[in-house]
Amino acid sequence: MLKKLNIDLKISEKDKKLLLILLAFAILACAYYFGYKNLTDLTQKYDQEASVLRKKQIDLVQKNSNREKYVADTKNDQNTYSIIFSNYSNGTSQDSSLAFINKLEMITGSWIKSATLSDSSMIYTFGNVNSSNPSTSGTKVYSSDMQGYKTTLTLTYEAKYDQWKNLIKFVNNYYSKNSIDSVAMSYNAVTGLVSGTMTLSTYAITGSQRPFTAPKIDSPTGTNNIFSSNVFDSNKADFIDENGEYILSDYDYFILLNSATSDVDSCIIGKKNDTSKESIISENNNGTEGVTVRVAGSAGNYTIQYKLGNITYPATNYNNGISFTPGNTLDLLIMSSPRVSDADKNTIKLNIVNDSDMTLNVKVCNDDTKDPRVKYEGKTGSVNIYN
Amino acid sequence: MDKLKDITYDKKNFVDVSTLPNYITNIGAYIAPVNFVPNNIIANSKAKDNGKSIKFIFTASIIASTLLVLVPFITMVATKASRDAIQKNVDRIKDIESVVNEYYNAKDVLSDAQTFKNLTISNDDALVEFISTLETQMPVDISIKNMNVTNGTVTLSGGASSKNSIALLIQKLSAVKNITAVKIGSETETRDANDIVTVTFSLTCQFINADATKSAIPVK
Repeated sequence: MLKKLNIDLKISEKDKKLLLILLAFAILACAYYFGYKNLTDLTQKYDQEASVLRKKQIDLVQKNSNREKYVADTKNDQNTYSIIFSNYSNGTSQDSSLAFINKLEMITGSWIKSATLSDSSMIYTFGNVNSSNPSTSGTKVYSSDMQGYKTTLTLTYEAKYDQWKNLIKFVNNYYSKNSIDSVAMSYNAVTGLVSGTMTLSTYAITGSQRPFTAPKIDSPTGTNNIFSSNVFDSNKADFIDENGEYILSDYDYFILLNSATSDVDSCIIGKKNDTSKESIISENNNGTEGVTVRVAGSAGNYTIQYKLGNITYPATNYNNGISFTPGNTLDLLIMSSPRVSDADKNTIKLNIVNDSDMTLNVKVCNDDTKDPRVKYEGKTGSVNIYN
Repeated sequence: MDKLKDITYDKKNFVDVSTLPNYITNIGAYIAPVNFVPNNIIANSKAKDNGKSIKFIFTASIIASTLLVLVPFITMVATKASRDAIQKNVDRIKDIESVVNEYYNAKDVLSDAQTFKNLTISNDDALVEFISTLETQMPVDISIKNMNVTNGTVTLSGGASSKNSIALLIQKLSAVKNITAVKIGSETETRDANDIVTVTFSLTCQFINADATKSAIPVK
């Protein structure tokens, strides 16, 4: 065929040499473009990655050396957050304000002669905080539907001196945060009564994870004549506290119970006003957890120890407990919360052991009425439980 | 040298023109001292040189190509190994990032809660402590008639049996850590028919809620 086409495929020596030179250059070019260049690029890429990783490694090593501190501080901050939130009501309403005023009278013996209830005002929206984390600086930390509300009550009161002191003490120490905006008082030397006005703010944090239940008020309803009542009771102030309501502002230790999906741990146990957070233990669990609280001692020398699942306080020498000084009474406040859904299963099996010479008073507030979070597994010694 | 110019020869010599170039070698030998080299020798020599050069160039190109690939390859492998080693170290402690992120998250969420808490704190939250202080520090001959307290600012009026008692009250209250700006606004002394002295006075002071920076759970 080639012969037919008269094509001569013979290559001269000169051409062969030329071709060899070309081939040599081709090999060099290929080696450069496909080998050297790619490999150099790859090396550069790995080098850059290594450089970035080296910086990251230095950063991580430094952070890792403080691992324990980060973990401890995180736990501490979470506990503090939990405690702050536990100190605010889940909601606000006029009936709850009136129930609070009623409680104020019942516990302190003061007479609230009149009260002006204002509308609640939203004073804070949660979730608008920017991250302080250098790696996510400036971004929103979390989103939340929680809002802070303030309700102002103006009360006119009259009380004996001790009752008046108890009134101030109750408001100042109530488990759900209140604040006295202003108070005026004058003393009548003839009657021995302190009277005046008090402007009081009550606070609440609302949100879908903080279900609010209206106070339960047990009074009969129904009448034949709306203009007349046969059961009008004007002596409410002589009420005897049979429900341990005083514990709401006067307790030694507390247990907080919330949904496992809430912003705080589902179960937190601690000492009242423990700024060091040393006494606080907590766990987040959407199931049933055993809780044991034991108090022991006599004649002013008392010890306490408590256990939540496998977590104990004190963490070491648990069996010896830790000494504490109770007030005039020995009180444990359990601040529970209504269940947020059917999937909310957080429950504690509470075992209370009182080996002391004082009576241990336990007050449970805000528990779910249908499916309480607090189940009693055992009760040893002198223990009064108020639900 | 391709041609011999200006060379004449006798026809009687019967030298074929075509054989003339054969003599060029001889001529070349004759003129060797001036390095006259015949073209064909030069061509042969060049051909030999070209062959060697080509081989050298080809071999050199292979070696150079190999080096061009091998050196960066070794460097690349070493760099990759170094990167992988660092990556391994990073992976080993990488979980600290989530620990740190959780730390900052907890810190920021707490700061959010703390901001709200600060909105709800008043110096009057320590009113019960202030009253206890008054109970312990007030001279026995002083009685308070009226008192107004707004966010720790106290205005009170009362009576005493002497100015000294009022002075002592100022000293006692001023000495209390969380009470400041103790001032008497006015003081009036009266004497009744039995010559009994009564001093009425007004006093202002400021008490601070020391608990403001502590836990929201108040002191029992």
